[in-house]
Order: sequence, then structure tokens, then C-alpha cells
Amino acid sequence: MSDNPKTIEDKLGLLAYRSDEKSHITVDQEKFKADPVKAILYACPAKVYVEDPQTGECIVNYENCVECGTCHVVAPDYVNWFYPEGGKGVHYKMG
Amino acid sequence: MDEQFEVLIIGAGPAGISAAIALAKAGVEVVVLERGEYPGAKNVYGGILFTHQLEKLVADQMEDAPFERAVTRRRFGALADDREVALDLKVGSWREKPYNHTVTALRGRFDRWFAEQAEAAGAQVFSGFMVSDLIVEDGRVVGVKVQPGDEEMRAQVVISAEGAQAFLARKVGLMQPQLPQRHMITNVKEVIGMPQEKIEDRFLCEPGEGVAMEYFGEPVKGYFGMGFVYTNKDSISIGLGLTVHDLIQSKQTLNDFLEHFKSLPTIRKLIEGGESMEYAAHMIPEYGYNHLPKMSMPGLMLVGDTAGLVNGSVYHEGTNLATGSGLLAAETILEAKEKGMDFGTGEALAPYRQKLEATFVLKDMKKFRRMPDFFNKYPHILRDYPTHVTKWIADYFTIDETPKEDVEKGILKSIKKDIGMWKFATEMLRIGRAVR
Repeated sequence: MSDNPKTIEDKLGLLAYRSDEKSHITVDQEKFKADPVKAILYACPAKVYVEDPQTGECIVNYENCVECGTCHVVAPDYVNWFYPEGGKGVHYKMG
Repeated sequence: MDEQFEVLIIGAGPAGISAAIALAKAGVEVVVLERGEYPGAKNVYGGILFTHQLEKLVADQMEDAPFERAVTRRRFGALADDREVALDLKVGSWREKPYNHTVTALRGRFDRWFAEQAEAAGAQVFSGFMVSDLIVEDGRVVGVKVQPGDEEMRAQVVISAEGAQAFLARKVGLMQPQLPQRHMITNVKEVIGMPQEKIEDRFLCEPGEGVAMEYFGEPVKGYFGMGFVYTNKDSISIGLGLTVHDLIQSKQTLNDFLEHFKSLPTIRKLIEGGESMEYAAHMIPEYGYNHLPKMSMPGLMLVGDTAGLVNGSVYHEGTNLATGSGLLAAETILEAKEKGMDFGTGEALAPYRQKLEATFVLKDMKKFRRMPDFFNKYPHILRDYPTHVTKWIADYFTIDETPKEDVEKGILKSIKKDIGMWKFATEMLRIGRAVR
């Protein structure tokens, strides 16, 4: 029996990425802080968005993005998501 | 860059490549821009490819296409707690060509191959280039802006096969500026490696043949969505999706849903011992016929997911609507060109919508036009019915010394208690009307 990945973090480890130095995502921190639900924290299937327990700000781990686009449908008011530059970002082998 | 191409296509998925092949074959100069490192590197779907339009485009190459398995068995199940009630279809003729026009395929392999067919037909496919914007002059799309490099490329017609996000279509006002939470479905999928023989034993199929299984209820815990299990050659695709609206309500991650689905007694044994190979996420635009974007404007046409061309209903078709719309977009351009029209004008491109309406693409979506709104309006149907109906059926087949007559009376009593006779009858009618 193999020990298959169960957590999002472990599953992201299965993926190949072409690294991009600059983030393709920006978050309006004030609006994020003011959002009582903060659904992007769980709606993103790659856990790109993490709340900093100290500052309450949203940390954006854009390198993990699997490019589904759910975040800006969830929070169009404060998540600005666009594709990474051509050739960069997640690199699916099967899809 | 002042060069002007005849047709420029954004995105090397099935919709864009279908248009590219049809145009290139007719001698039109076509350029396809793909943001992935190769066609398919960004493309994700559940796993079923419907091939009836492909056969029109690449008839001679179908034998070489990197399909995984022909789908000779389909299963539609309702899952709840510890039980499953399913409609299981095995049809002998599906085992022969054209295999009910239903195969499994992995997009990383298929899209790459399909784009090669476009190149062989004379199209130019450039990978690693992301279109960041459309260039609009006097109300007409005349080209695109490309990253990296901030280059401009001009064309007489641009076809956007950008995909579900439809950034460019939203930007030029062909659809609402924001994607609708109740109609965008986020899916996650895992591809789990497994030896071929094991798949054939487990799923009761012959070599080269496979299964498509789709489940309502428990996989998405009663929310608006479904789970699926598809067999590839030496792997299994398992996943699920639900609307963004319901995902927000659920307060859970899609991976939580997926792990729950994988752990269900009826599903666990199917994937046991397999090795996870890839995790992926993607969105499906299930606007339905009543909420479609405008299909074209001067110089621009929308195809595939960009245009919301998905027949959710019970069929879960997407790839054939994509390929079909690509073909019809190409046909529209070719007819305008033939007539000597300036084929990037509004009049030249307007027949595209009529062509979609006249074929299965919009005929089917129109038939099921009430469904997406119906399930959003009556969320309890997907939430409660799989639980109740599977319980009634399980009770009916439960063996003990209770006389069968009493069993039946008990079930009637359950229907009254769980839903109510009158409500049950009216809701059955409503469901019937929604799919009529």
C-alpha cells in the first residue's frame, strides 16, 4: 500500500510549475480584512490564500496557484486574478 | 508589428483547435496563441471526450488519436450515507465503432495531439504566449496584445477560445463583467495510477474499454454539483465539482469533499491501491441557454467554454459543443469570405449564432434551458432526494420477515413523512418540466 497524499499541500507536491518571479494575483488588504466570511481561504483549491494571524492580512502564495480562477469569482471586490505570463505557472501533464 | 493575419485564435483547446483545423484546411491563414508551454498544459476537464464533431475534422487521423478508453458502460448513481442506487448502462453496440462517440482522454495528451493536426493542416500554433487584451478600434476587434513582450498582433477576425474565465469577452461587453457564482462550477480532480488489468477487473470491462460513472448526492453533500469516476488506460480520474455559490455556503475545501467522496464505501474499493499522479482544478461555466453571452461582435467570435457552451443537464457534454462551435465559427468566416464580404464585420459574423441555434449545440442547451435555474431555485431537490429516494428503494429490497405489503405501506408512510405526497407529486412534475 502506498501512502497517497491526502492534504492539499501534499497534492500540490504532485504538480509541476514553471516559476514566475512576479505574482499574477493581487488582494486589496483592507477589503479582505473587512470581509466577515473570507471564503477565499477555503474556496481556493490550492490554499493560495492564508490569513496572517499577526496582521490579519492575506498572504498570497501565488506559486501554488492551479489557475482555476475560483478566487475572483468568490471575491470579485478584492481579488484581482489574471493568468500568469505566457509559459509560466502550473504545468499540467494529464489534465 | 504591422503584419495582419486573416484569423487569430486565442487558446489551443478543443474549440480553438477545431476552428483552426477547419479554417486551415480551407486555405485560410490561421494563427493560434496558447498560454501554456504546450497545448494542454493549462487545460483540465473531467475526462470524457465526445467525438462526433472530431470525426468531421480529423476523420483520417482518428485511429492515431491518443484516447484512453472507449466508454462502453455508463453509470448514473445517487449516493447517500451507506448506499448507492444507480442506473447502469451497458450497450453492446457501444463496443463497436464509433463507440457511442464517447471516449476517455487526458487533455495533456489529447490537446497536444489535436494541435499537431492543426499544424499539419497549415495553421501556426504558438505556445507560451498569453493574450492579455483585445485591441478594439471603432467598435471592431482588430487584434490582440500578447505577453510576454507586450507585442500587438492584428487580424481580420479574432476567435476567443480563451476558456471558462472569459476575461476578454467580459472586457468587451459580450457578457456581464462578473462571472455568476451560481453558474460557475469549480471542479477538482485526481488522476490515480493503476495497472490496466486491474482497471478492467474492477470496472468489469474489456481491454480498451472503460466506464464513466457520475454521482449525485453524497459526493457533494447535497450541494449543486456532482462527482465522477472515469477510467483511463492505466489510471482513474476521480473528482467532483459544485457551484461557487454552494462552495462558499459549505465552508469546506473541495479537497475535503474529494477525500470524503474517495472514502465512501462504494467508491473506496474502486481506487484502492492506486497511486495519486496529479491533482487539478478547473471551472465549468454552466450558465444555461437563458444566460448565454453574445456570441460575436465585429471582428470577434466566442467559442466553447468562453461562450458558455456546456450542456450540463444529464449529459455533461462540453467538448463536443466546443468542437462543434469551433467548426461553425470557421464555417461562418468561410461563407463570408466566399461572398466577398469584409469577414470581420458584424453582418459577416452574425450568422454564427443562427448556425449554433440550428445544430445540436444550442438545440440541446435550449431544451434544457430551465435546469440550471431550477436547481438553484429548489436546492433541496439535490440535497434531499438522493437521501430519501435511495432509502425508500433500499427499504423495498431489505429482506426480513416483515410482510411485503407492510414494507410497501412503510415506504408510502416514509414518502409522506420525508417529503409529503402532494409535494412529492408536484415536485416530480416540476422536475419533469425542467428537463422537458
